[in-house]
Amino acid sequence: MTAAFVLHDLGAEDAGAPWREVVPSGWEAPDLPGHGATPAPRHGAYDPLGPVTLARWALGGSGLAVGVGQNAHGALILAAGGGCDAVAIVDGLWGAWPSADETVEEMYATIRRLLDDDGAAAPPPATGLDPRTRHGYGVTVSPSFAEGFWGAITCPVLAIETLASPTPPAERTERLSWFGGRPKLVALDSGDPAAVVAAVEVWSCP
Amino acid sequence: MVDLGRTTLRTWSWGRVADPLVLCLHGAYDHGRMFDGIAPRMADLGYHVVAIDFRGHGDSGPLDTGFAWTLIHLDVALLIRHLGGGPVGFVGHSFGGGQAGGVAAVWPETARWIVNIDGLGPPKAALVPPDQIPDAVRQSFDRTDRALLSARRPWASAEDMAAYRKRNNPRLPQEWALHLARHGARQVEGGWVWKADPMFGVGIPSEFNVEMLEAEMRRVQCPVLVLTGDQEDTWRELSEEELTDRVAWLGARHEVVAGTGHYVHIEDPDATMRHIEAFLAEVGP
Repeated sequence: MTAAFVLHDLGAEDAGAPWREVVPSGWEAPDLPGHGATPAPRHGAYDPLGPVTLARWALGGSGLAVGVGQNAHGALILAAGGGCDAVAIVDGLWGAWPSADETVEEMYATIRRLLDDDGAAAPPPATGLDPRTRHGYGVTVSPSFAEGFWGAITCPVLAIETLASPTPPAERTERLSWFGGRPKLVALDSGDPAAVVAAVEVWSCP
Repeated sequence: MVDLGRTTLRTWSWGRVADPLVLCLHGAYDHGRMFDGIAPRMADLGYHVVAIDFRGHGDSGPLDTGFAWTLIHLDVALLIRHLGGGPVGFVGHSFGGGQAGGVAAVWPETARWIVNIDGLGPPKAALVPPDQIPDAVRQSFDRTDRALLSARRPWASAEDMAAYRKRNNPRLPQEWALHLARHGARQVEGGWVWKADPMFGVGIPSEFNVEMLEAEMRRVQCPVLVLTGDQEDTWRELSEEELTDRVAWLGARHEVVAGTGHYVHIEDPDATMRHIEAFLAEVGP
């Protein structure tokens, strides 16, 4: 059984390749659908359920899920459903909370951009990065939702925040306190895979 | 079949291509043939009427996820572009009524008018996160595995499937239950299975609340006619207050078709057409 499964960020140019260079034995860091060598999903669109399902099947209910950027939400979903027994997220605490009106406007702006992007509507490439992945998942979360959802996660959580994180620094501690498990915050300059793996290893092997 | 690049949509059409376009959008788990009753009558009024099977439904392309709300908006917008561009009229039932409103809100230039047949969205209580999130997530995982890994249960006949529909939608006339079952099923080894993709409706927790629904509905700028029934059935879930609010958010005219439940246009096509004709006489083609 896999000891850890890395969900690289949606739209990552190099997919899982930079992770595979640095992860320890027993970890998996595949190219997720629509990235690298893995073809796009058969319906040509993206949401976190696909990567979550791959991680869930690989981990079989135990081990570590690592979720990066937009796939941090998926890793936390896996943890909430008991699909792993520890979770590490990179820049996964969400950004400033928008109003309902702003959320809808952003959701609409995303699908307007999709309609205007010929590459995102054309059949996906057989391999390599699908241009559609650049438009994001379109998943929305409010503070009350996040508090309830993260509160249901009782396994250990490592939140790695980098300088590129969308989360306002002043809000990190409060958001971390919403987790039901034993959350820990680590700050890194970047999401460089080697640095992330090193932080995870320090955390899980104190 | 219309190739939209990343999926194919089955379309059914009536009337002359040169006439103003009307798109008929069906409800969840249904298909475009649910408009076989009123679509030809709309065509007789001078419209080019096109009913579609949404992706994950009927003969259209499959789904890998039930997280398809805005994905289907995009399909409809691409179809409108394929058919020559908008603005178009929409007739939408239930989920399809919501889709029509969503498309009109995102791209106001695509919509001339909307007839929304009992498609004002779920009640507020259904738009809150589940109390037991781990259980809800595990159920979603189980449903995903069943949809992706399990063989689908074959039914012995379309008649059996129609009987199942009648149990779930008891107000559907028998001939319509059979019609919907026949066109909503495909033959496989050992019997028949529903065409609706089992991944439809399977999703992961994310947020869509009543405040967001209001924000969406308030963005609809074209004239809207809402038709609802007055009979209790499985899908009449909104309170009077919720119904009034949502009609107001849409800036819609609301007509009640007496003696009908959720399938207003199937249960009383004559009254449905009278309301549609009166609405179109006011707002234009």
